[in-house]
Amino acid sequence: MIEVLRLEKIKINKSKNTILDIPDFKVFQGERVAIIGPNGAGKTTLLKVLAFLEEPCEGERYFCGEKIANGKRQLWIRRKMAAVFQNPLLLDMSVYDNVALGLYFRKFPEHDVKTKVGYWLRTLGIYNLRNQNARDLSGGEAQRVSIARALCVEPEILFLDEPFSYLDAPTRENLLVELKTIVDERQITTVFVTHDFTEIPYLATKTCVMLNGKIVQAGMPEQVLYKPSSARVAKFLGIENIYEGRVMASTGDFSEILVDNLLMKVKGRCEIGRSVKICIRSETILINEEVNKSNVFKGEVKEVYYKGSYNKLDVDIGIRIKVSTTKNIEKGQKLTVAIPEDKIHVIN
Amino acid sequence: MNAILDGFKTAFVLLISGDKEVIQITWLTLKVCGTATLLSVLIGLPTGIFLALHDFPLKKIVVTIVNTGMGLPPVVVGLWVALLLWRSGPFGFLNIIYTPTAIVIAQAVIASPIVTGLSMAAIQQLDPNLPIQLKALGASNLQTVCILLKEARLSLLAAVIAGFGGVISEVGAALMVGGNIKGYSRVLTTAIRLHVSRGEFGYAIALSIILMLLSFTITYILTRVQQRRTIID
Repeated sequence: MIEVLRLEKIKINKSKNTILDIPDFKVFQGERVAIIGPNGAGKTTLLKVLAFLEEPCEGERYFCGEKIANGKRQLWIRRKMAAVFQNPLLLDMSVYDNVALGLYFRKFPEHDVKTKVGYWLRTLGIYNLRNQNARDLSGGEAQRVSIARALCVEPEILFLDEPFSYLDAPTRENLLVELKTIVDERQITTVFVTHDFTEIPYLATKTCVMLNGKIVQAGMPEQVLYKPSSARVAKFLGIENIYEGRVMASTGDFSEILVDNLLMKVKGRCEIGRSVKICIRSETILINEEVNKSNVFKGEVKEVYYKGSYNKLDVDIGIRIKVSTTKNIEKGQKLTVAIPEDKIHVIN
Repeated sequence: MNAILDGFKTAFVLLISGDKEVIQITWLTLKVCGTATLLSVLIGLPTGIFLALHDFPLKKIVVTIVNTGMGLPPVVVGLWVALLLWRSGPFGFLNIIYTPTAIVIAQAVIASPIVTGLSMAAIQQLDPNLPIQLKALGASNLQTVCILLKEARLSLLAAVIAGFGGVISEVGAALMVGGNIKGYSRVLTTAIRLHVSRGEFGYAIALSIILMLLSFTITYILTRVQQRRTIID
């Protein structure tokens, strides 16, 4: 794979605090990298450094293997990139002119501008708005214009900084599908920042979790989502079931961990006697389905939270455990909870 | 009351007859105020933009000085410009005291902080993320500044209007550095002041009407430009 961007020993300090500390980070051609983390983790700062929009205090940046210093070279590189931001700041001019802006900056001939802008306006379904002032658009329309504006310059690398966070759920979903189709078709290297981890499996081929200005975990989306590297990452990823336990036995491919008075069988070997943390995603827990002989616990539903398309249960099985289910369960109901051994992740 | 009525009558006659002196004073006022406003825009606009877009040590002090300058009393400016241009002063060798050039300098000093302060505020009112978004679209530094100016054009024109307002209404400095010499450095405000002191209210009223018309016309033109909205077919 061809390396398009690389950061080396990057640091950004503000008011004596290090807000970004990236020893090494690479983006390869065609990759779709998701950067996730809570507010203030440094995601947007990392994106700006990658996009040559913010200067680091220390460290080096490489584009296609070439070390890039300040100056005109940066402008040349920036013109191979485009970005869509959370708040699309459209200018006080027509939709057409807003979409054409990047092409005007690159001094494209008027004929090319017309063809390209027309194509992207049609592709994103906003051709009918072309003469309207961009300031009069709805949030969804404005974000479409912003996406068209970025794609119009046919970037080699596309940066997305939480572009859908201000939009309502249906608009967000539609735009996400359209964007994925475009990015897939054109094989655009994409780096996107989000704190909505439901977008990750859909868009990303690689996921990086940021906490306190550092990348604390990077890997395939499923690996990060289901096997977090720490309890903090697990909590951020929406895993509610995190417990401390002690390894009681470890034989073959399995270990037994005592959590309060419950003995849980988990896949993988652990050091006997060691204190560990385990985490279980609520949607992997089964209700009234005894698929295994191990990890089947009887319990009582203490609370039911209606989440629209599913219910979240607070079940007492000796410890309190959160379970997501589409089944119709009522408060006070007695049931059986089964936790597949391979769905329990031991945090190292 | 009679004095006022007589004044209006005289003013009417002067305006209708196209009095040569009135025309000369009006033309000089237009030239002096126009040049002073242009100078203040040339100084104030880039300074305001620079202050809005850059951080540097002592920026707060510089901004405070600019903001203080926005309320500079014209007589104080007049005094200092006169001292500097006085024949024995540091710039006395220029021999421009009691000339229209001296008035232009004094008025530009009065208007520059106004244009600077309001231009800075105009750019700062824009979303702070706008320059980054423009750069992310491939804009060079110059292209970024041009777009920012275009986006802030309403407030920037308000800055120009305020600068022009400060210049055309000013009397103290023009009197001190221009000398109010008949046919040479007499502008509308200094002429009005002179005629009032002599009790020649007709002349004063006529000149005040011209001054108001001049101020209104130029401000109207600037306002038209300011309020125009680009609609692309």
